[in-house]
Amino acid sequence: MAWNDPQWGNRDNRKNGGPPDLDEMWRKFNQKLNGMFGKKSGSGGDGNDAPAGGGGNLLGLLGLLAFLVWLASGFYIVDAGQRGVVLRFGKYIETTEPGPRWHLPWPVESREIVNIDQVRTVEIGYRNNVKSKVLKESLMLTDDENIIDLQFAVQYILKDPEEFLFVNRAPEDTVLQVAETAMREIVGKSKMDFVLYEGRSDIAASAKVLMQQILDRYKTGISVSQVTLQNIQPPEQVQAAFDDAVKAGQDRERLKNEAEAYANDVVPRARGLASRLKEEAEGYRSAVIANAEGEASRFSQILTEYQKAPQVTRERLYLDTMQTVMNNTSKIVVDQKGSNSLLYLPLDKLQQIVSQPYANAPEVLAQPSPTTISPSSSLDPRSRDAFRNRDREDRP
Amino acid sequence: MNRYLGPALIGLVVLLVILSGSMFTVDQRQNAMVFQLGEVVSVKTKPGLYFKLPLVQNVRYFDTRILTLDSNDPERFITSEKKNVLVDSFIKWRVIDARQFYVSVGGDEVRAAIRLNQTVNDGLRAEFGKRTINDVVSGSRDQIMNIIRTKADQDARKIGVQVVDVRIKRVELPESVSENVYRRMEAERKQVANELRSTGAAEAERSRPMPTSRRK
Repeated sequence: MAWNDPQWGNRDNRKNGGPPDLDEMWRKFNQKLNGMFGKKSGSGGDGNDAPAGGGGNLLGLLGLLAFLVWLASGFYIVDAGQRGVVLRFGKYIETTEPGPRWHLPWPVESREIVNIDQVRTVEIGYRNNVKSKVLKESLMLTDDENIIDLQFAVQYILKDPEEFLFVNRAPEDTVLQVAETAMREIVGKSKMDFVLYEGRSDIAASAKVLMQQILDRYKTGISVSQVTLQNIQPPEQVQAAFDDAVKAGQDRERLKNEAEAYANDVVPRARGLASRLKEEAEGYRSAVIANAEGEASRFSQILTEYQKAPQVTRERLYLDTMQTVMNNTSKIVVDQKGSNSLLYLPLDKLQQIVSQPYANAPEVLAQPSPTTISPSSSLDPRSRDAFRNRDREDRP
Repeated sequence: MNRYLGPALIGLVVLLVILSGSMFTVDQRQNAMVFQLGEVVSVKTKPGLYFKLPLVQNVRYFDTRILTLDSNDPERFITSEKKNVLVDSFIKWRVIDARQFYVSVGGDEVRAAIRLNQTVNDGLRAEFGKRTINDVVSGSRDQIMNIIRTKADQDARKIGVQVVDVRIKRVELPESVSENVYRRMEAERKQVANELRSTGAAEAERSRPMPTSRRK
């Protein structure tokens, strides 16, 4: 009844359909209870009966309450990711899915709730942190009798709550033992380098397979979801040597790269120089050939001239030669016969004229010019051939 | 009411006592043995509710789940090349014949475990003695485990126990030998390092052009 009810305070409204009186209900309930227990209500009729009847009622009520509580104790809730396992007198009856469930209360049935989807983890070779190692677990012998330091974790879920509960006494400890024996077996069959470098994922995968086989053999109801290798390394005692080997690999690369860099620096330059030298040589070659051909044609021209008029040509050759020879001397030849007595002889000037071609002479000589061909050599073809041969030999 | 209530309550209590004394449940994980004045009357292997005579019969339970025997200290064995190795193993076993188990080891798991441990260690010692370290670590690990399992299982049947599995966990070298292994590993690494460096140098020499020798 709301406190602002207009009929508030009017206590005589029971007969008008107001709320039932609690006292009256209690009395009726007691009567029924008494009826149930076979006691005739109000048989004694005096005051003595009331407390006794009340005691019986109370007992019955308590019994009923206890019964209800007993029934209610069979209720349980299975959360998502869990399974309930119901046992009747210790015998497995059923596995229940998530949701509110009820089973016959104790001592008939009992239940166990198992969290199957929760991912559980076992750490082998370390606890909590990879740095806090358990050497007893982490050091393993490899096939080639080396020792490595390996830390790994195994994650698992349950696939069969019934097996998990009933077949093994300590299934979770079993995971640790199985993980250790499986990993050691796998590592024991592998070479150290394989474990340390290229075979990491293979090892985790095969350890997982082996673990699952063993766990299935024990019927643990556990499914291994992942084996993660946290850390694989050589033991601390030999760490330095391993690091050095890695460094050596780097050194090797470095040396190679340095040599490569030097080669890249030098080779193109050398190639450029080579092509320049080659071109120069090409040029020299063609110059020499052209010269030789020119000489040859000059000689053959002279030859034809000579055959036509040997006397004149010989004279001319002689004069040419003498001119060349005389050009280079400081001697002055004076024709006495055909000249008058007055002779103008500016010696200093003449000497200047003479010295100029003389100064040019080395250049002229260096070039394969007609001057090098002396009349004598041109007359002697054999010596000229010999000269040519020698010339060919000298060239590369 | 008063007249009936007292006796009824007493009767109920007595009934409960008798009932609780004459009923017992066998769990999924257990076997039960019923004794009558010390004599084995029956073995209950199936879970469920059973009855017995109160007071004169009593029940003893045996865990039939797979148990683990994991020795903490590794055992020292000698291999065929006279090398010492430390071996750590675990045994998975379960009670399959409660009567036999009770008769031979008094139903005591610890006594059974000691017995099993001895059998397994003897077997391991014999098998290790026939093999080299390398064999033990990698080659015939499986084989050894299988041999020991069958052998231990045969023996365990005498005490009503099944050996589900025997597995070798750690095979280790003793401390002093480990030290030598480390030295050898170091030497090996050094060898690798030197080889890497020198081949690097060699390759560098090969690809490094020699200007003086090329210009002829």
